[in-house]
Amino acid sequence: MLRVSNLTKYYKKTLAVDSLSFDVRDGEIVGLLGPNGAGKTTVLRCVTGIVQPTDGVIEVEGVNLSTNEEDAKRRIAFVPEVPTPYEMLTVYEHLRFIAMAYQTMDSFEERAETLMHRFDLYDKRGDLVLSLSKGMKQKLAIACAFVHDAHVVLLDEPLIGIDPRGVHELKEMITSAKQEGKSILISTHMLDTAERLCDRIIILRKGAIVAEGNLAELHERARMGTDASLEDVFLTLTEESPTNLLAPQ
Amino acid sequence: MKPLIYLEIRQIINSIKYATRSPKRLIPLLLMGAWICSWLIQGTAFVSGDIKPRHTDLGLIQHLPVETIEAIIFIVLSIGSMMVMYNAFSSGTMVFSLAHIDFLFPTPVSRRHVLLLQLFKDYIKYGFYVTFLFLVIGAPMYSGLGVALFPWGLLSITAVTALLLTVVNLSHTIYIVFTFGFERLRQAGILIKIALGIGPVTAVGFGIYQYIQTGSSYASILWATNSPVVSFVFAPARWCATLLLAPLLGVTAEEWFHFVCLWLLAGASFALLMSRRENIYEPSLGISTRFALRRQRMRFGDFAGARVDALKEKGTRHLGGLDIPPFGAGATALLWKSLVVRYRVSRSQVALMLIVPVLVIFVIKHTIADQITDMLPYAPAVLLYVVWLLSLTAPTEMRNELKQANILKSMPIAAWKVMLAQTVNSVIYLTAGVLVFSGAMWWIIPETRGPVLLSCIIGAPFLGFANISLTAIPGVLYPQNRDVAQNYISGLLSFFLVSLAVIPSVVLGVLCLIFFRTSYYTAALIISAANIAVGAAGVTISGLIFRRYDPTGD
Ligand SMILES: Nc1ncnc2c1ncn2[C@@H]1O[C@H](COP(=O)(O)OP(=O)(O)O)[C@@H](O)[C@H]1O
Ligand SMILES: [Mg+2]
Repeated sequence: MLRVSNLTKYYKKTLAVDSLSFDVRDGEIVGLLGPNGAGKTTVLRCVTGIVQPTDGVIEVEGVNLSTNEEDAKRRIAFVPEVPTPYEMLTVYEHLRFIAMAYQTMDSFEERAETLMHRFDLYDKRGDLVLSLSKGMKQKLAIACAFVHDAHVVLLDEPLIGIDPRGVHELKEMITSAKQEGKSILISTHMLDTAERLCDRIIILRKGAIVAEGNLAELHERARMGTDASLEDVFLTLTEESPTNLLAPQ
Repeated sequence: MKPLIYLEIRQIINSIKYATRSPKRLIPLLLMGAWICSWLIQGTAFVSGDIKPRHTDLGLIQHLPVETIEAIIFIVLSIGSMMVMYNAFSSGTMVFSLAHIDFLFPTPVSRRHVLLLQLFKDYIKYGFYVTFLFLVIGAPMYSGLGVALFPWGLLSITAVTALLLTVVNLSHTIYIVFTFGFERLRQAGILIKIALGIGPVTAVGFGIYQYIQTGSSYASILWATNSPVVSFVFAPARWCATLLLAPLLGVTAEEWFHFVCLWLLAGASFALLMSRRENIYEPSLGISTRFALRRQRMRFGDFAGARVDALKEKGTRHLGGLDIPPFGAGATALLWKSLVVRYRVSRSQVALMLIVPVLVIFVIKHTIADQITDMLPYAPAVLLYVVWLLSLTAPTEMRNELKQANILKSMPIAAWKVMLAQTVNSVIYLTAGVLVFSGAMWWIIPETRGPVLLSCIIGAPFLGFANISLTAIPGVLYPQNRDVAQNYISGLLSFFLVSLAVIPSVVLGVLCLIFFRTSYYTAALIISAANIAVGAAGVTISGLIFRRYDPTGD
């Protein structure tokens, strides 16, 4: 369970997130959609404690991030946008470092092995990260997120640059995490993935929610028929014109 | 702390393994290590009094009064500290790696530990810099003055380190506090800035007043640095300046006290920084990202890319002023494109190219010109050296150009023409540089006006053509500017080839002028003809390589 209430974030004078509130319930996959610069990465960075919210409360399984940071962070897994892993560690060492940082070393070996097999990293476990391709680094980042058993999983544009098999594995991991009752928040540009994978979709524009709900609800909100694609809905809702300012719920 | 230590140790071990496993990487590293070691050994030799400095011109320092030396050190230290802290209001200096941002910051590892380790690593780095500079610059200087460096030199090093740590800690604190309290603390920020600025302002005031009174600029500067406000605001820099002279003057009880104060300040500023509760990760995001990008560019020798980034940081700029209108088709259009790109990306360099020669000539005129009057008519021969220097920058441009080899190769333009366009591009910039340089000579030093200058102007572009076309060869042979070893080899080869390219000119010059006693103009024409031949050969060879070059292979 992840609960974000009234989250506001200013970078100096730039407003990146504007009093945003949403929940991700247990066993739910929520998609965070929005054009570039909408504030998706900033939301995820606030939740992971990389940046300090200007205002608002973030609770991870009931633990308040600002008062109890280390405990809250231990419950979160995070896949960053276009990850830059430590080049001078081997794949195995990288996973090990992450597990150490989250203090979850028991049964690390088995989990690491399974993950490396799943994401085609097993043959490269002794290689320096330096020698991995972009897609492999992305896979490593995903493996790092799942090497500790967190209840809230955050993924920032995770499907960019990996091959179809990697995408398939990741989707499997996400759905099985959902079945285990975890809360999953994915920021993405890939509308069809969001459409198929997510239980609920939040559409952001300029740091604020313009629409929220499942696909049918979004269609309704955009005053479009059910035959309209998510793409049409997205384009309509994130358009600049004031006619799209939606009536309060 | 345990995961952090694991991370650091594994990274160090792996880096060493990685560097030693391939000779390509090991050789440049060893060369650099040897270079640093030679400095250190030389420095310590001075310290222990084994060798006397080669430079006897240190006599200049010998004749400076101690107060002057102290004033110079004081000015450098205080202005440096002020600038660092002033900058801290807008951009920080705490740089984390991108990997830290992506993978360490989200983990529950204590932020305090992360900060502590980072500071510790920075402190070691600064301590090393100070020691290195002290051994390289300070040791020979003191040795020239005939003083033993130890034990008091150690005191000087540690005093400067303490000042440096204080400045660093304070600037980190300022940056962290003002990133978040941007609005709330605006007044406080302005006050601190005023306090920092008040020293130099009153100093200038005092100096001008004294200058009007006495008419001696030297006394005024001394007076200004000793004025009360400056002494108060920059007291630590003053203590430090005095302590740097400890090997010369010994240490008084008061100075011992100042030394202790410096370390107390360093400790206090450290405690202040560690007591901050703000999220130290956030302020470092922007600077770390920019820094990582720049470092990556530099590592790959992608200087044009770094310059483009710098342009981007300034925001979208309207390219006003002069521009080069489009011309040509085929290879000549390519030439236009290269000229324009280079001009836009390195405008400040073009401006420097205009200003520096004038300055250099001006300084020469006012310093040594009187002592070498009979040599002045031959001074334009220096132009050939300028050509040689400028040619050395050509391969970098060429390799930057080859990053677009995919596009270049797919164009219906013969390979040798592509190479010719690139070479001519560099030659045009080189010629412009030469013209400015000779124009400045003509204008400022009348003695140089004569046949030597004119024939050098005629010959220079062709010599440049020969040089640059040859240096293009390693450029196409080793085009991967993402590979350190290729960069190194290509640099070495171009250096060798440029030096080779000058040989025909030198031989022909000696033959013409000394054996056959031809006029300067005839010599210039003959040499230029030879250089055109060399240049044509160079373009042909690089064209052949480029035709077979596969841009997709690494
Ligand atoms: N470190 C930062 N400093 C200043 N402004 C930032 C920083 N990171 C993001 N921003 C700004 O915040 C806004 C939201 O950015 P971001 O969260 O990255 O959007 P998204 O991930 O949806 O593309 C943008 O206007 C961006 O310029
Ligand atoms: Mg983003």
